[in-house]
Amino acid sequence: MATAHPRIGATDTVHASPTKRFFVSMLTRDIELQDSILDLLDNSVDGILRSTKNKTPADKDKPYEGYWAKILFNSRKFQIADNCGGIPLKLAKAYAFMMGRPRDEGDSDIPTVGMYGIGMKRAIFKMGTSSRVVSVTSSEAFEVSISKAWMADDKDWKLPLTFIKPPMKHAGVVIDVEDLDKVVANTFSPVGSSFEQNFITVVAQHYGFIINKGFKVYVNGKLVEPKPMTLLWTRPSQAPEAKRIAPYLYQASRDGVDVRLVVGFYDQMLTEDELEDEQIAKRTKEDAGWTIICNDRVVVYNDKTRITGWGEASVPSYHNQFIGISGVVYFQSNDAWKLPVTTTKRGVDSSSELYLYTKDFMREGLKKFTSYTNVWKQDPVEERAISSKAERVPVSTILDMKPDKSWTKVRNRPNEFKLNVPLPAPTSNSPRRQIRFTKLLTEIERVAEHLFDDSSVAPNQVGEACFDQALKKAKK
Amino acid sequence: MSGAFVPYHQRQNKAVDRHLFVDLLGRLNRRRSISDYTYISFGGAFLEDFKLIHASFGNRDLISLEMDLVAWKRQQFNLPLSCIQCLQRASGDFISNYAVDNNAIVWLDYAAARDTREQFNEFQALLPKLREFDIVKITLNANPATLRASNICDETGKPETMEVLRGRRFAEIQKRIGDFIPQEFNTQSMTEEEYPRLLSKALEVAANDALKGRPDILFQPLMSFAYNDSAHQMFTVSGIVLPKKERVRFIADTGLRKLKLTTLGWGKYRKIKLPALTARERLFIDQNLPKWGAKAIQKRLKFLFDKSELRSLEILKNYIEFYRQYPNFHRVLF
Repeated sequence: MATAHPRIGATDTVHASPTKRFFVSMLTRDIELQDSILDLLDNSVDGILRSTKNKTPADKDKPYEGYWAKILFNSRKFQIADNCGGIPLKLAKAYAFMMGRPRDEGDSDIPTVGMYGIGMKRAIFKMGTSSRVVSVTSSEAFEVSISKAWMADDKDWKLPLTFIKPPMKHAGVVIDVEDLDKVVANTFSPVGSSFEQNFITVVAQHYGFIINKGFKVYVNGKLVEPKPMTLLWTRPSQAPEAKRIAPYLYQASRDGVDVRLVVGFYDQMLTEDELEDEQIAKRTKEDAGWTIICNDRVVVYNDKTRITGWGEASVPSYHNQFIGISGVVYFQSNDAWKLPVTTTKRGVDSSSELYLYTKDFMREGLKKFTSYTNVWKQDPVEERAISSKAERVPVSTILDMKPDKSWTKVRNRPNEFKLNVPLPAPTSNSPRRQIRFTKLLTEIERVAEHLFDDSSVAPNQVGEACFDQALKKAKK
Repeated sequence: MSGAFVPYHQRQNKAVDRHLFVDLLGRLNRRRSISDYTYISFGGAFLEDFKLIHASFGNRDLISLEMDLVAWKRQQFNLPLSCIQCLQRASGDFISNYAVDNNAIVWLDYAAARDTREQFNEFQALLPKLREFDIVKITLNANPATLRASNICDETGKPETMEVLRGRRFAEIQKRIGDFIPQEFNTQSMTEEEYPRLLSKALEVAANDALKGRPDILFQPLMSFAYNDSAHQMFTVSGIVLPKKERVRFIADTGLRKLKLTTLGWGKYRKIKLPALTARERLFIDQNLPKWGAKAIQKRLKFLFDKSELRSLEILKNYIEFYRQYPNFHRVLF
């Protein structure tokens, strides 16, 4: 029997509504487990900002003092509890549980990092199939439960909200997730997994600035300590001007965003021998690279790629010679939409106009320090003498500096300054060159034994001693 | 420092560690046929552990790894058994091309103090290549002084204070294996007691990270010791690759919890610190064992091993803990 063709011009409809499976399996695939827990921490921090909106903190340098978040996990459940003010009812009803956040609502006048409103749900879905969110604010307390049955039902897009007697004295949020996904349960298990240790490291890296400003994060009862970031800077009393190491600094205020940038050496540059060691057994302390912070929250950590200017324009690509170079760019704005951050908050929006503008200064700073390592690699002894005079100054102190007379205006603009002090340059009139050659290890050991009565002396020292002896003879 | 020529067979603490390892294998033998395992280790010029393993379990597949040409040649001269295969190969190279087709016991008996990173890397490279129930023993230098010597003077010519020294030592170990060191450790961990704990916890993280791609198995530590035969404190962990599901049952079946000297968790270890005793002293103490405790024996001895009574008791306790494994050295004429 032939099928009847629909009449030309007739209309019908098709389903375009989302399914929960889409959110649960697709959305959660885009994010790592640890990042999704960081999203929950971001929400806690936003809670603090909401709570302190119209208040002046007792200590200007510690605006997050007194606030904490406690994260607990094991193979059966996950919990995050905080005292950061709770989710206001209005916000809960308007969008906190929605999949995505409408463009304009309550928080546009505080410097939040959570702007897409997807974090909490994504984190819950990533971890398990049933959950309970309890919020206590100064005016009410409620509970929202997400059950296994709700997760399986594509028609029901409403969640029950129940007002409850406040279960805790402080205002805050408690999120419990149970019925954990098998892989997640395995990862959270203290046996055969080091997730706890790795997560503590990630929190220390990404929340270092916030923790330094008073916030406390506990992971399975352990208080996370921030990772100190320092850069080398020689005090005027320690060395004459031509022998001082100083970082490169830039500050600007552009279109409602404060930008502060610093780049320099966090450690002395490596000698050729140390570099060779690096090739064999890669060291772990890869503290080099750019860290980008948006509203106190680290979004890019120690990046060494084109994203942060390495290998672009005249800047060389990252390699071990530059292992001592480290920089921080700090963006702050009350309007989170103006910040150059990606939706996952784990990356910089590299097409943002503000970021591209700032990147010119990142490259200028980088170039300055990569060039320094190039001109000095021929004379590591003299370089060590210079850089060992420098002190380790906390990056937070440097970022808080106000431009003074030693800074220069950028293109004569009123809101842009940089501090670009020339770095020491080799002054010797007799240039140096390096000698490199390869010999049999057994022969090097024999010469070392002969010269030093010790076969384990480093090959470069053996070579240098041979040269010195030959030079002595040649001078006779 | 190469361990190839150190006469380990004359070192009593190491000898105890080795005997305890054989005891452990004896326990595991309840569930696994240890004699069918391939034994791989760095035998050195003397191949001492190979003799012991073969004598205890009769293993026939034995592989020795030795880099040093001179030691390797001497090894072949000494070869105590015909079933030992002496390879002149670096451990890293052996692990990269690991192709043992049955269960194995691998002892990464590292001696070099400087190469901590490489040693961790090799341990990590090995684990995912292993089979279920394979056994690994790793020995590392655990002497904090190797991270920075204590007689270095600062720019002003003054010797470094302990505080500065510990800071520098911690910075050095951070540089080497910082990504494995949990936050609980700091400059205060640079003591003889704490440094083995740091290494143990770092090995845990390294093992777990290495096995991320095989979530069904884990590396279960079974014994951890620190001992000191010369200037260098060594730390050693022996463990087994277990299917996660079978972990609890395996530990129960082998009665490992009942064995006094096992350490089934990370970050813990026992110290092997045998006192040097005369034959007469030993015989006297042994006559009282295992019936009497350290205090009673101390009383009967009528003299102390140390000025401090407490320390003397400690020495005695340590002997009692390991008396079954205490080696005897005799002059033997062949």
